[in-house]
Amino acid sequence: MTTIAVVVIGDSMWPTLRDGDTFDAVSYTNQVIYEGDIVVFNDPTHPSRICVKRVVHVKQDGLFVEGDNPDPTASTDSHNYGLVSYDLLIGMKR
Amino acid sequence: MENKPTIEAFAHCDGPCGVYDPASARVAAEAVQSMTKKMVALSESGADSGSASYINTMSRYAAIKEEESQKCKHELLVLWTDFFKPQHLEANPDLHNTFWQAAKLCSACKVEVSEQHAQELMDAVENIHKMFWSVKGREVSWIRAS
Repeated sequence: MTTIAVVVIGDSMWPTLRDGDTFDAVSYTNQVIYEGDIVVFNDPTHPSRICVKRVVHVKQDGLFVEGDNPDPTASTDSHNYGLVSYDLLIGMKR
Repeated sequence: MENKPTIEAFAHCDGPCGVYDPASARVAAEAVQSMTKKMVALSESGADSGSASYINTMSRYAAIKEEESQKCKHELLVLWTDFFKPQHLEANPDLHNTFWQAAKLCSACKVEVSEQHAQELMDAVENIHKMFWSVKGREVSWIRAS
């Protein structure tokens, strides 16, 4: 398990994470994930892009993630691309 | 200092603000209402209902009414399932029922030739218009193209 410094780009996780914030994440190595965890993953629709969102539901075949920003137009998340499969996970916020 | 890899993670939105707009549902609902009125008017006009021209015109009205009803339902479902989120229920406790009834009106307008249901669909879309813009904190007047 390694530590990764994650730089946030964008406002979908506001107010928890602001544009430009940096936080530490631990690499994902099949740890148990709970609802409420903040996860870092490859975007299901653009795999080369890395995203950060909050886990709202833990399902057998993936995670339902959302941005914290209450403005629904401010976050592209599982409402748009569905569940994030576990093989796309990179890390979890400590 | 700990030496650790750094990555950039997007907390982003693919679509800019304004990508959702109840106007598209409103335009479709207006088309449904317009086609409904034209069908009623043609049927009461005394025209020869057996003529090729009558059948052709009525068929076109019906086809467009079907298509626009389905389009309206689609646009409403996108707003309901993609735009609105659970936290909006507090300010709009009737949100789910409003969308459910509006979607059912789309189905009714598709199946029937009912001026009453076409007007009720417009009223429902107007309610959704108000709900949508109040959530976004903006005052946008209800307008019609027709």
